[in-house]
Parts: sequence; C-alpha cells; structure tokens
Amino acid sequence: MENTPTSKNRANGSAEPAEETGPGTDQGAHPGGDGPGGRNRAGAESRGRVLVVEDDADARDLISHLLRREGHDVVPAAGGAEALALLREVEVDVILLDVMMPEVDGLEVCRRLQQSPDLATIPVVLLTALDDMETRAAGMRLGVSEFLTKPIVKDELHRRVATQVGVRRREATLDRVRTRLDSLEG
Amino acid sequence: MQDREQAVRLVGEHTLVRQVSDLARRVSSSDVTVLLLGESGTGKEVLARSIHATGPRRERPFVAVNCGAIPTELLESEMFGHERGAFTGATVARTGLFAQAHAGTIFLDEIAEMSPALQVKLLRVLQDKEVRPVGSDRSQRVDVRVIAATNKDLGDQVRRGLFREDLFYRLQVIPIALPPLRERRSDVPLLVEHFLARHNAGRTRPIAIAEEALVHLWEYDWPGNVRELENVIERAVVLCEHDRIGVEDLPPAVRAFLSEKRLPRPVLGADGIDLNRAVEEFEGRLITEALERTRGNKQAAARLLGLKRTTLVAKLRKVRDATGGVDEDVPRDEAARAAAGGRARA
Repeated sequence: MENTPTSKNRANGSAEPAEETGPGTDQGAHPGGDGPGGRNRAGAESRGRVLVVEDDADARDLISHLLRREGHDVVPAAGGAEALALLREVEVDVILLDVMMPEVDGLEVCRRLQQSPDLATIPVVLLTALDDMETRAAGMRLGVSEFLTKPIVKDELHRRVATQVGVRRREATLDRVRTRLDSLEG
Repeated sequence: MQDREQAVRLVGEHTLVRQVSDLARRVSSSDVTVLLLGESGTGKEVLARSIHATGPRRERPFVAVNCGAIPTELLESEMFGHERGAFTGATVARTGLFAQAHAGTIFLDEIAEMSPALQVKLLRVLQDKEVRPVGSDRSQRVDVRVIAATNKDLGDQVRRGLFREDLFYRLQVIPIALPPLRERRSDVPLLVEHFLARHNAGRTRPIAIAEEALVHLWEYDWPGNVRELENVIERAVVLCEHDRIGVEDLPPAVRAFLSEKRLPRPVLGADGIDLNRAVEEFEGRLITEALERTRGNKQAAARLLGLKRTTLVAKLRKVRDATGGVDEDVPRDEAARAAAGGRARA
C-alpha cells in the first residue's frame, strides 16, 4: 500500500504548519523495530499516517503534535462523523479514536467501520479510561486493535501507534511474498 | 520432536493471520522451501505442521528438529545419522532425522543456532538431496521437504557473518512472518475460547471466563505469545474454583498489567534505570491524576498532592515541557534537573 503524503491529506490537515519528517530528522536514531523480535520504537519502518479522532481540541492538538514529532503523518478529525467522511477520501494506517464524543462516539465509529469491508481492516487504537471495563469489553467485541489509556502517556502512545503501523507494514510484506509465490507458480 | 496433539492451523481472524494462513495453504501443495519467522510461541511449528498436513506428503513423516536444543557436536549425527564406531559412544549405526523424514517433511526450528560447519553440510544436502552419515563414505538420497524457522533476524545474522548468505537465500525462498500476539490482540478472545473449548471437551463441568478477566488477558503484552496464553489458560482452569475464570485466577504478571499502567512500579532492571526520568514520569502521572480527579482545579489538586498551588503550577510547566514540549532535545535534562531542584525547595 502506497503511503505517500498527498496534497489532499495536507489540505485536510490542521492549521499547524506541516512539519518536514524526512530522513533528516532524529527519528532514525531510535533502536529496535529491526527484527521479528524487536519491540517497535518509531524507526523509519514504523512511521505511518494516523487519523486522530478527538473532540477536545487541546487533546487533539497535543496528540497530533506528539505523533508528528515522531515522524507520523497526522490527519485530525474533530468527531466521529468527520472521521468517517475523511476515511472515504484519505488512506490511513491507523485510527486513534476517542470513545467519549458527542453524536457519533468512538464505539459507533467502530461499528460503522466493521460494516465496511474496506475499512474494517484498519487498526483502531481506542482512547479510554483505565477503569472503564465496559467500554473495553465493548471495544473488544468491535474489533478494536489496541486500547490507549487516558490520560495519555507519551511513550505508550508511540508504542501503540508504532505497533499498529508495524501491522500495516507486515501486511505489505506478506503481500510481496504472495506476489513472489505467484511468479514462482507462473 | 515433541508429538503432542496440536491444532494444525493457526487460530485467529486477524488480517495478518488470514494472510499467513492463506500463504501456508498455497505453499503446502508444492515443495517450495519455506522459512517461518516469528518470536517464540507465535506458532511456527503449528504452521509447519499445517503446511505438511494439507500437502501431498501428509501421509508421510513430519520430523521436527530443534537445532537450538541439541548440542552442536551431536546435531550433525542427529540430522544425518552415523555409522557404528563413527565417534566415541557410537556403538551402533543410527539413522538420521533427514532419512527418517524421507518422502515427508523436516522442520528445522531455530535454524540460526546451527554452527557454520553444519550450515555448509546442510547447504550441500539441500543442493544435492543427499545425506552422508557421520563416519560413512557413502551418501544416501533423501526426498525431503524442508521448512526452516527462526526467531532471529536471519538477514542480520548474515550481515554479522554468523549465518551463511548462500544458505540464507536457499532457505528463504518464501519467508512467512508470524505476528506476535500483542500485534493481534483482537484474536485473544478467540484463542481463549479455543483453549477453553479444548479443555471443556468431554467434561461435565465446562469452564467459562469472566469478561473482566478477558480484558486483562487482552491488555497483557504476551512476551511468550500464544504459547504463554495457552499456559495461562491451562493454569487458570486448574486454579479456578468455580465454573468461571476470574481475574483472581490469572497469574500476577497478567493481573498487574492494567493496574501497573495506572502507576507503573519502576523496575531496576539489569540495564539500570534513568532515575530522573522515572521520577519525572511518576510525578507527572500523579499530577495528571490529581488534576483529573479535581476536574482541572489546580488549587484542589495541589491540596491532594500536599503541594502549594504555585509549586504545582511550576511542576506542571516542567512536566508539559518534558512530555509535550516544543523541543525535547535540550530541555529534557534541564527540566529534570529543574524538577529535582524544585522538589528540594518544595
């Protein structure tokens, strides 16, 4: 799956100036993510495009900032409806989704994603309170990939997002192996 | 070489599991060499068995060799066999595992542990389809499908000169990487159900699992992957005094995982710890929690923490600088030092 930043995406981006996240940044210095056994830290392989769905503007800006600084490409959305609309236009690797939002909340977004074959495979990281077992259980049933506990801890955010971007990379690698097998079988 | 009953398919519905299973199904019909990659416990042997069990060789032997578990000096004779008197203790001739796997499949697990000398010999076997028992001057033909596996980054082993490049390319015609369980948490409930169903089969008292226990299993990072989950369920089933596994039946490490996230207990590991950073993180979490509980009221939060409001505000500024700050490179140390100084004054 191609993962080049598009102008479409930039246009959907927040008002913040686009940060350059090329190989010249310090991200490449992170160890790990380099083998089947490596825990993901943000290396070149684990940078992707993240849809950040959070109705609280401060939280959304902070999360977006942290992810951009780690080298990810961020598409912010202020609510569930906006997120679902954006997903029709932009391809993303991971959806970071707050649970508590007015109107279309996080679990409802999950439900709608599940109904769409194209969107159901995008990993969802659900932002939830630590004690909220009910939401966690509901999220489990709705195919959520990870939970991220609020208040957000930076390292945890990066670890969860990197893991799920890594999943997308793995999918791409397996796709390449399938292509190789096709050519072997002629 | 273990032969306990195992499911001959990977259990899961995660997109990665589907992709891996699909590849396994496709390679099973041919003899193409497959290299299975993945952390221990991710199901490499299960997948190898499923490739064998669904292919044309399924009526023939499946022989598993753990190259890491057999002492280097014994591995060659284990694999290729030996003549009587080939070495001290070789009182009788012995058939090797390759010959035992004739017409079937040999599964070479932990292939990266193989010595360089044996790597050369294995390469020759793969090329010539012949094995020569230790102490023998005659080779014998073997028709064996080879599936190799490793939890190491074999490419990296090649770059470091620990693994032969020619053998690497020979083995990894079709590399299939199995995901660690923490990358496919959504399969945890399904796996739990699978292991419980296996336990419950034929029992009068079936055991279920409480939702909260399932949430804990989901959150745990599973360094030992599916095998560890299987062991945890087996243990819980034994310990469980009712018909439902609860959080209290889970091992402390799994149980503690969620609560430690709230306030992680700093661990002084073998590599030491960055004390400033640990203290900073701990402090940051307590401050955030106090603010949450007081709905952002700094005066009340300061009281909860036994601080003056001004001290809390100063700390807050430092924590913000350190976690969400504008530039991490320079101020981290300074912030830590300043925070330490702040504590002394407070």
